[in-house]
Amino acid sequence: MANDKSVAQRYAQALFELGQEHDRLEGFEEEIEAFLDAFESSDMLQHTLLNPGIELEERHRVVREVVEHLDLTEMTRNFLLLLLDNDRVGQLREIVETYRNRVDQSRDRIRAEVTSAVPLNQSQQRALKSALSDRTGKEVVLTTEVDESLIGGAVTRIGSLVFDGSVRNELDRLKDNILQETA
Amino acid sequence: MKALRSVLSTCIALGITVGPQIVLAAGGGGQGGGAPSFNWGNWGMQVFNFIIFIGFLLWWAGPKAKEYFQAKREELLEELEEAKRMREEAEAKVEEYNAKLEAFEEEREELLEEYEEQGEREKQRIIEEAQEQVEKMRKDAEKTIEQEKKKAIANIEQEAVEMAVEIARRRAQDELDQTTQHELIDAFVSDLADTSDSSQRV
Repeated sequence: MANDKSVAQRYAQALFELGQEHDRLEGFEEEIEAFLDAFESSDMLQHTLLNPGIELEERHRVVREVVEHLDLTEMTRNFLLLLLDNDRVGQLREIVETYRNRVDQSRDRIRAEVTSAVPLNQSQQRALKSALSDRTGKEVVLTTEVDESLIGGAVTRIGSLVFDGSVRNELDRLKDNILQETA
Repeated sequence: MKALRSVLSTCIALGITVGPQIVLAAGGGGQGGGAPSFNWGNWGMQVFNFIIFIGFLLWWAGPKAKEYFQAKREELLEELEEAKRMREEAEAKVEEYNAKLEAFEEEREELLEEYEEQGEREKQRIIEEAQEQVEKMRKDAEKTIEQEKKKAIANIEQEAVEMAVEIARRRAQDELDQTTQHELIDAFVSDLADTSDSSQRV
């Protein structure tokens, strides 16, 4: 596991340096994320690229086709082929996440995941980004998700920090308080 | 001396056996002539022979008989003495055995008494232990009942609270409309902006 992390860091750092050199940090990020989405959503693609029984040339051809289909740049394609040659496609998710963190770090920004009972409107998202930016002192990249089991309100996660303003959480706390008082 | 005694013994024996024959033979010659008369000479001879016989007998066998009877007497006395001694020994043994029997009897009684005391003590101990056990079981049972009671109450309370919370959850789900939902999110964002630290680290 630690070795996987180290491998991911090495490849992410190489791509980061390439992105910096060509001023394409966000571009690479979008492209490898697009490829990761395609890779994780297709069992056939995973089976083909991770199967050492299939000729390397054949797997190269598949990567090229996917790259072409997703309209990715040549540098991204070469990076993906390098991963394939070095049998590192299995660590693609770790590499993408490490690269994303590295880019965020360089841009002085953080990512926040917001889960709410109903979809957030634009003004709420802006207000939330603003509140979180004020709190962290960094630019916030927001990803949103809907979970009706929250009943109402929202939960925001930034790394290991959780801000829970959901009705479900309030009810759970209420229940715990009553049980503590009666115990 | 012994030879002399032997010769004399032989003569006396001959006198006794042959003498009367001679006297009888002499007396038989006179009967043919007149009326029979008592032969005093023969009678005197017979008396004389008898006395000689007795004297001889006393002389010859007396010491031996005396010696025999003396030995027999001593033997009898010894036997009597032995019998007496044995009797005394037997009596002593009887006394000894009687004493032992008495001692055994006393010991038996002491042992019985001791056993009875031990039995009584054991009985008492068993009763006390049983009472302690009963008391302990009673206390344990009371404790268990108390714990079970508390547990049951806690369970009921928990169920009641969970039920109440579940009802509140359903009501909230039913009654929270879009407007209220957005108001809740706005309030959350506002709290996030105002409160310095409302986070939970996970």
